[in-house]
Amino acid sequence: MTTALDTQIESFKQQFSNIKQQVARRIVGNDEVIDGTLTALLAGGHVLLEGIPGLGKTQLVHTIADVLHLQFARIQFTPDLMPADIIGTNVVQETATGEKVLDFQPGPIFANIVLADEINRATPKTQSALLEAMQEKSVSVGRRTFTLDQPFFVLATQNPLEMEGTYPLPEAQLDRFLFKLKVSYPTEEALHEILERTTRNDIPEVGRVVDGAQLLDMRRTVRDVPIAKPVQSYAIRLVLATHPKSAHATPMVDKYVRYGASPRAAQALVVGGKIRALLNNRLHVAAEDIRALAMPALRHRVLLNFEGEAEQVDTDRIVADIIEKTPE
Amino acid sequence: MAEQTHASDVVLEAVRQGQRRLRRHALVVELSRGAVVAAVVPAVLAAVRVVRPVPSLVIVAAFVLPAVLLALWASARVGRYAVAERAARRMDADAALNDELVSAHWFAAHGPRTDWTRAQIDRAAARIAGVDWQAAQPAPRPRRAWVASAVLVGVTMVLLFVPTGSISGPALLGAREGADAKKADAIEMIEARIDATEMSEADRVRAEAILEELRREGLTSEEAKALLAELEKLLGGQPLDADALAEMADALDVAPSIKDLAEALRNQQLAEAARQARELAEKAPGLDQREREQLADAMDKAADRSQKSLEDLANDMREAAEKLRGDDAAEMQKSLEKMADGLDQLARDADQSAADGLQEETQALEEALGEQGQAAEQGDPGESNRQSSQSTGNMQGEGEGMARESASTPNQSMAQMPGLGQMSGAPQMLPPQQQQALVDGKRRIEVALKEEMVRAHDEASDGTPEELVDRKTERVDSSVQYRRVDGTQDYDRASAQQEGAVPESLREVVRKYFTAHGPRGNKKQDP
Repeated sequence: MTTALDTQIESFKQQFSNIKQQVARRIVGNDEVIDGTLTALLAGGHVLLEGIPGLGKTQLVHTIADVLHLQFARIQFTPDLMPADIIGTNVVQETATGEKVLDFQPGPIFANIVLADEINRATPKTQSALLEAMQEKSVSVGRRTFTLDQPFFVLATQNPLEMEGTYPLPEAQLDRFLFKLKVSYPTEEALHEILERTTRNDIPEVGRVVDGAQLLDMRRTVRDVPIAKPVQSYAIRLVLATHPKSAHATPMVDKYVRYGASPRAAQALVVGGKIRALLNNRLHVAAEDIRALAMPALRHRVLLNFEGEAEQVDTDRIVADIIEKTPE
Repeated sequence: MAEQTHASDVVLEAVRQGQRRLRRHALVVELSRGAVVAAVVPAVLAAVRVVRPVPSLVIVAAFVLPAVLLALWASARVGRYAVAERAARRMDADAALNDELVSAHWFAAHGPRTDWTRAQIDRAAARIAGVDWQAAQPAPRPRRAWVASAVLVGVTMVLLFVPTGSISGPALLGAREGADAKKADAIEMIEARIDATEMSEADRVRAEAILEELRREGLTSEEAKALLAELEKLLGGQPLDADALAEMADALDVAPSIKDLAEALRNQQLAEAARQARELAEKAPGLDQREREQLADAMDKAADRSQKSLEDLANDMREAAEKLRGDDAAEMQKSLEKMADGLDQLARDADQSAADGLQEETQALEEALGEQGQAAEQGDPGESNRQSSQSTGNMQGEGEGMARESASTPNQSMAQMPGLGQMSGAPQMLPPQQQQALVDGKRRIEVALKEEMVRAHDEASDGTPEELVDRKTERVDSSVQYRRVDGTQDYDRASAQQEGAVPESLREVVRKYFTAHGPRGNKKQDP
């Protein structure tokens, strides 16, 4: 029995390692972002990438789509983008018999990996077109509901600098992203490597190492990993600590936070912890796994109050404070 | 399956052993730490005992109470490891197992049993089998605490063998100062008592003169006794007029049949006198006429010599004398019984009066005089104090003896030593401290009320203080005119949101601020 499990775990690790190796052929550095993105992919969640332009966010999504042998679609969000541009629309078609019928033309959302580039440039109405797809994995048009193919993975990007003409994502939309990852500026060494790879004729090719079915198998393996209640309690305490006036809240949370994280944050911590445990060749989830994922899982789910906004408090500071002060 | 059960048992047993080990360690640590604190208490008390007497009960309590508290504290702290999960977490952390033991223990104890949990328990069992728990969780050795406790216990033991008062120098100086302070306190208590007692002006002047005498340094024991006895008379605390009783006793002595009664009266033993009177009542009808006449004359004479404080007794005696001259045996007995009852009542009144006297003040003063004498005898306070040291030094044992004697002497001694006798264990209505507290409290309240009345009168010139107190509260309009501030708010909002005034990144914050603070709705309301 243990041998079969060992094989399963070994296979999981091998496939993850393969994906990462292929991605690393095109993407330099940013290991945390790559790990976080792949973890969200295996957990069945979506990722919001935040970083200034030119750091390779779009390139990362492209590469993952190539490596996973999945259908990829890119949507460039602009203020005049309409919901129909994302989910599709009914168009009048003439049949062979000359009869005119309404035919649904699926939008770019009907792909396995969707890149929502600069998502905060579209209006809230258009942004909310993604809500149902991200949570229910389905799209409703008129009186018809279309189920999206699995795996379905939304990777959105946003630029933290240009605020003019942008529409900050509503809380409900933010909560649907499993992780929010911050893409940092590459180091000098990494910049050398980027230039080496991108200023020559031979652009590195990536191989397709995992297909959709294998990815779904990996997801099932992840969900089989059990988590002991004491460790799960730690994840819950971390989430509850984001709520002002709760028994676990830190003084900083009480001062600057209006609303804390939803139960989706606890789900993100637990499922992410399971993946991290497998990748570290463990059969059990440790508090260390939960702690490592607390920042990407909680930072976008903490809503600042007026005082927090006025003092321009970074939610990362609040989450770091929670991690430091919440006992295991 | 058997293998799996074995793995679960290994995990559960490891945690049980760890739990016992952690409790043991916690007990050692908590006892060692607490012992230092607990040992300080008897050590301090033993040090105090060297310079001044401490009751044995207090010394025993200083050992027992900290020990009991220490035991309770340790058991409460050790109880932290009563939960196995807590012990498992601690073991996991100490052996750096990265929550493997925590998870395996949880699944072994609570389930569920799936392939994954079984594999996890197997792996954890194999891993913890290789852990050297003695190295991971070594037995604590709080050596500093042990040394500190041992030193404190040693010092305590040494100090307990040092006789009280054997240390001179600064400690003695402190004892002497303490005795002086104690004497001053006692005199202050007596002064308060004099203030609170109603008496004639002449008596008050005399009482204050006595107080001055008591303050004098070098007061001897005999002088103090005499002054206190006189003071008690002035304060109405003198239960019996000893001179009057002695006069009556002398008058009664002439009749042989009542010599015992006379002797009892002379000794102020009124209860005994009552008993003798009852015996006389029984044998009076058997006396011949001449003896009865002699008895009646003696009683009449004694009644005539009595003072006002013994008027009732004198009347009873006169009545008994009259009946003794008659022939009615029953009346004779009845009148003598009545006199015996009167004597009993006098005895009870005397006890009560003694209890209400200057008991506490006298005792405190005499203790202070005793301590002063002790300090003076042991030390050398200098030439200037030599005279007083000698005089009070002579009183050392005497003062203490007076206090001890008076504290333990039954009513009998009251008659022999008025004033000091009142320190006996006579029944009391209220302890003197409470009585004094009541008097002081009443005085403070009166002063506070007077001040309040004067202040109220100064503030409101219309009416006397009494009228002000009785006046009803009047209703007045306390509403404040509302003034709209919309205009200012609108202007502030407009100017603050101007592009040049606020950085772009903060413009949203400013907008939210005014939205949150501005008046709601567009409807203008008239003030």
